[in-house]
Amino acid sequence: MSNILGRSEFFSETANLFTDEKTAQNRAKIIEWTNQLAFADTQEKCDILVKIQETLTGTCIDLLDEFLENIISLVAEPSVDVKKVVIGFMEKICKEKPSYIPKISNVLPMLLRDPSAQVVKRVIQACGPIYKNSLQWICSGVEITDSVEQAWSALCLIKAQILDMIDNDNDGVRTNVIKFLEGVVIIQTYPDEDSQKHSNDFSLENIPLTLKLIRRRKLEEESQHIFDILVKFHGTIHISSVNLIACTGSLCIIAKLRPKFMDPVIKAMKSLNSNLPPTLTDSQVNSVRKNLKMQLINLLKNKGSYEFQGILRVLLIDLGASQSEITKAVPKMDKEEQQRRQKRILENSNSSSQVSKKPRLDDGVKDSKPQKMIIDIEELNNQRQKSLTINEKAISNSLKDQNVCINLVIEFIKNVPEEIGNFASIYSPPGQISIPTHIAQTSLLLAGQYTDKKLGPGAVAFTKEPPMRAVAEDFEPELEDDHLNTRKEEATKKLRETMERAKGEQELIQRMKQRAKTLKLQEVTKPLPPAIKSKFLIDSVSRILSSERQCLGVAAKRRKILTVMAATFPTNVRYFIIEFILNDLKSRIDLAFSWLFEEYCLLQGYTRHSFVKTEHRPDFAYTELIEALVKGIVGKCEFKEKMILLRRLFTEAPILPDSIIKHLVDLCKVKDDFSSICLDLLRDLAILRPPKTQVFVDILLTFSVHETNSFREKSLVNLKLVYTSQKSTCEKIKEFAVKWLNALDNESPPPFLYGEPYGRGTIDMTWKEEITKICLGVALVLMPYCDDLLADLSKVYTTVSSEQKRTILRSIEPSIKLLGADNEKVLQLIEECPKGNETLVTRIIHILTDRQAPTPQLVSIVRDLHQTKVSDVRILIPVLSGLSKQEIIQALPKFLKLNPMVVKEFFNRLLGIGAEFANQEMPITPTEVLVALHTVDSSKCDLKCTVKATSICLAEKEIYTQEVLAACLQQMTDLTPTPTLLMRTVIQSFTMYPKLSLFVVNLLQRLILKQVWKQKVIWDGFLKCCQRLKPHSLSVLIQLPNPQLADSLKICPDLRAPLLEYAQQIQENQLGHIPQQMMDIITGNTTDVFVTDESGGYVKVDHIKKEIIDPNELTATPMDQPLPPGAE
Amino acid sequence: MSFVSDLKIAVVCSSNMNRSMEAHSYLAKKGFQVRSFGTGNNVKLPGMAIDKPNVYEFGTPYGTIYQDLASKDRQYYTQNGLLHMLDRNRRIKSAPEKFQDCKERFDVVVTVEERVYDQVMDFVEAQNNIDSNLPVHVLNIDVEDNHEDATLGAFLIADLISMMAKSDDLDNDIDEILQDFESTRNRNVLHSVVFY
Repeated sequence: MSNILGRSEFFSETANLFTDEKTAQNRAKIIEWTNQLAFADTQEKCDILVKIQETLTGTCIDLLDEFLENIISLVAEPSVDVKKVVIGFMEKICKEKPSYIPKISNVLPMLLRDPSAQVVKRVIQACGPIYKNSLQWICSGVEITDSVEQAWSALCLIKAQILDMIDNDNDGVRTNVIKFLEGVVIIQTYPDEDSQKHSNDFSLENIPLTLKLIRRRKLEEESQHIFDILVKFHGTIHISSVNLIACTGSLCIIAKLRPKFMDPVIKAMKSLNSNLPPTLTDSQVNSVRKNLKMQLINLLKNKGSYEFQGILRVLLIDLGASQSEITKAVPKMDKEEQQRRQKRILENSNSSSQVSKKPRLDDGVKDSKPQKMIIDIEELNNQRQKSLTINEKAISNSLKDQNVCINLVIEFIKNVPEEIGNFASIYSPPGQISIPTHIAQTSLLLAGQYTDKKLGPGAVAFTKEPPMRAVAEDFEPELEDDHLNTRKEEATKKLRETMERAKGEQELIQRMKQRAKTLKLQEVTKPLPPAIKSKFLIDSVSRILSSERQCLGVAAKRRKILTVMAATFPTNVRYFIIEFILNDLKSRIDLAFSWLFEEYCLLQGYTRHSFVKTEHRPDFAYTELIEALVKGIVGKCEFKEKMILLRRLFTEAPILPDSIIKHLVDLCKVKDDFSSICLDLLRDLAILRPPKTQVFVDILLTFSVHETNSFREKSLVNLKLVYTSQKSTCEKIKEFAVKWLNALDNESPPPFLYGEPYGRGTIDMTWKEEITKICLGVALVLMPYCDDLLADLSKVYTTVSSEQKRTILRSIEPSIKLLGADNEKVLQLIEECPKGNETLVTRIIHILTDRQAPTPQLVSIVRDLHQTKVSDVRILIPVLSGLSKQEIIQALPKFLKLNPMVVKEFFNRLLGIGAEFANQEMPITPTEVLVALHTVDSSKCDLKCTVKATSICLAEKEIYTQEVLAACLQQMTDLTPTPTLLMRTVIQSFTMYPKLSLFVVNLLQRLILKQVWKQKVIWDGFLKCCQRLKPHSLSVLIQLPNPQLADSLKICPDLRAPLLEYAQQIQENQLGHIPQQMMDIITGNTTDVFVTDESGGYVKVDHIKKEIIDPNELTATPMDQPLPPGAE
Repeated sequence: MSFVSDLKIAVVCSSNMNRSMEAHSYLAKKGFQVRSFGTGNNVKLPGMAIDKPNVYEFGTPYGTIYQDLASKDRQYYTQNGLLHMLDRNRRIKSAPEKFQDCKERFDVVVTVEERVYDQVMDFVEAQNNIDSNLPVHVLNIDVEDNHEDATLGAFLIADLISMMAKSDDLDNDIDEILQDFESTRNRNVLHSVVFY
């Protein structure tokens, strides 16, 4: 068993292998054919398509999936033949593989609108089976997915579309529509026992009740409606013979397959037989009657027509069928069935009020006269006679009045000819008769003439058209009052006549009948000359355009109309409408947009107007329109409007062609206010129109390195906004920034920095500040948002020239500020401080601490940096406020040695001078600073520097106020050893604040206790003080020991006199005692006594020598302040 | 091989011997796609006496009939032109065909007498193929069944077919064409559209 199974498996495998190979071969073949399609001419294409179709549907239906799209797309081919073949292909596929119906049903409506009637016909033909197959497929229990639902609704639309085509101009199309509708009616009704059966029938019965998508009742109602339309069409007066025959055939098929329609169909046939369209020629009448006869015989053969056999017989005999033919056609039925049917008929007739259906077999034989549409002479005579009598009576009544007779004679005497002519020969005088007889005779004659012309009161007796015999026997109903059938026909006939009379068409029909031709508008009308046509066209368009006010209520509709006209009409109309829009852009912009979108839809194929033919590219119309709009807006609008409209146009237009973008770029380049608006627009477009972002960003980038300054700055701002809001652009912008930044690496500016787009023509041989700035621009603007760039900058910085370095240092401030002191990359850069970057880092630290306190992190980094890598103390200046007091004091000497400018800045920071440092909290008070200054070790720092520094401090009167200074001096005086510069500072202090004099005198006294004379410099200063402070200092001087007193008077002889005076005064006032020795010294009598006494001790010799440098300064006039170190 | 027109034409007479073959030959020479058929039950040819026609099944090759008649009375059948006709026929196709047996679809079917027209219509109607929806024009031009009229008839049919071939949209123009044809040739034409 297993063996056998295995073998069968093996076989099937082999078979699969075989099929696969075959499929592959076929696939290759089809691919080859498909490739050939592209180059083939029409006939070849058709042939290839047929081959593909055969292969696909024949052997390898599985490949359909792959190629179907390809083939369906060929419906876009211009050639009618190719389209027809493709339609055939689709029809076949719908039959073989209904699962592809959703794909195909989408293409059909488009094809139905094809300009070529051939294609339309072919589609309608194909739609019949497609519709049936689809219905079968949907009912076969496929899963009802969205695509199935869509396909079904598409098919319903197609159905409606075809139904509408029953009024198509083309005869052939109508014929095919009839056939299609016939199929629909049959599918959408129930068959019954008499229906002719076919193998692949499909009817409402086959539609599952459970199906939600398709409802039986709805379809049945629809079919009834379609059937009514067919019957109505069948009864149209002007129906062409081809349509008539087709329609007759269709109705009969419906009747045969769906006997419930037998009654209306037979009625329609009967009415046709009695009222053939008047437009048919004789031979067409023959054809129609022949066809009718055949159809009726076929109907008769159907059992469903049992109850109508009578009518059919009558009709058939009228159409010239022989009795034997009819008998042969009547279906054989046994008695039982006949009875059953009779019974049913009876029931039917009872239930419905219409009794006329009952067959009247014997009546048929009577009606055997040939019936044709000829004038009924008998009836005509009858009418004539009536008219004659009425006229005669009326005339004779009139003639009895003598006045009337006289008037008549006078009136017409003028018309009597000069010559008698042949009147004499035909006129016989009345002879001797009485006047009443004469009147009667004349009346008769006149009445005859009246009646011939259908004039006078008797005219009413005539029907407007000559009575027709085609209606059965007689016109007068009373003659066959009992004949129900005829009477009914009569009624229809009359109704029809009345309607026709009302329409006043009769004469036209009559004339047409004579000519026996259908009216074809093309033949009887001449086309207008093109010039007039186009003038009419333009005029009517201009009327629609100028009705702006009147159309307020229906503005949307008017706009729609104009849109379609503008988009699809010839170019002169287009230009006319463009001009109209441009004349008042502000209020007509909606129309412009509507049109623009319509063009877009046409371009994309969302809307199809088959009659639009253009030799231009497909997007020509769209581009032309939008260009015209832009030019119009720019050229004609006021500034504000221009701004609004341009923005609207650019942001809302569905596509922006390149030419328009170029236009915008040009607008940007114009140097006026509008330029910046355009730049803003560019930015917004880059953000709002993602597909074009790249383009706009490129433009902005180009502008951001433009020569013109204002332009560049604006662009940079915009670029930044784009960068921050549109993530997709970041990479690109960054790349650009790096590229330009790296350009600085080169020895001279590389050529790519120049060119027309950037507004710079000639290439510079060397770097200039401007171009350097430009290269930096983008990178610096981006840096706050993309700190990676900092690394690039630092790399570049190492290589560039010092000139460029300066430029960089000057430019980076805003970016670094924005980055802030917390940014990791910044801190990293500072921490690492790559070689060559010291200045950059210093600058960065400066920027970071500008007007704000340095963060602890920064301080610690800088401190480390200073200790490890950068010995330059300058680097510490920015973070001073973060350092500890100890550190500052330790570093103080180093600072003092710096460039005067830097020293000045150092103190500014240290003391919080100037607005930018005002808020800082320094770890060290001004007092401490000053004291520290005075205690600087002169071995570490040149005294001169210290002096300058002190001067700088003291210059800040706001900080070193009287009180502060007093505190400083107090502290310093207490120091041991006494600071070298103390006295200098003291002098300066009381020079600035004279009120300090007394305090200083006090200090001086204390200095005496500290043996101030031991330090030569301080001693000199002391004496200077005394000089300045006399007379207050005299009391101090007097306290000096004698040698020192003598020395002081020796150095300052001018003190002698006041001192003497002071001493005498003391003595005179008995305030104290002055020893004689002292007095001697004061008076100068013993000048030499103590000169050699050196026990008081000067400071060491080397000290003296060293300090000797200064005396010039110290002995300078007191008011002559030392210049600040920076000014030297 | 290319044809002057896309129209597929069938010419139908009773026996597919004389009138249809004459037209077939003429139309084929003019370059149309044409086939010819008969609608009768058998192929009937006049015999030695009026009540003794020569009867053959459809499908009997013209050559065979030729041989048959020649063997019966060569001189007689040469004189009345039958042999000549058969000779021509066998150069066109092998054997007479019956319209009712043909499955091919045509655009235009031309019959040469009313009885044949009726038979064609009956056959087409009896097919009752509701799935077919392609329209076919069935036309009848009365042609007498003799040599001279057959030749004339062939000309007429060719005229009509040429007029139809010139039309871009036959379905739409056929009424016009027929009226034109009828008035200029003074002939009546029966015309009907069927779907099959």
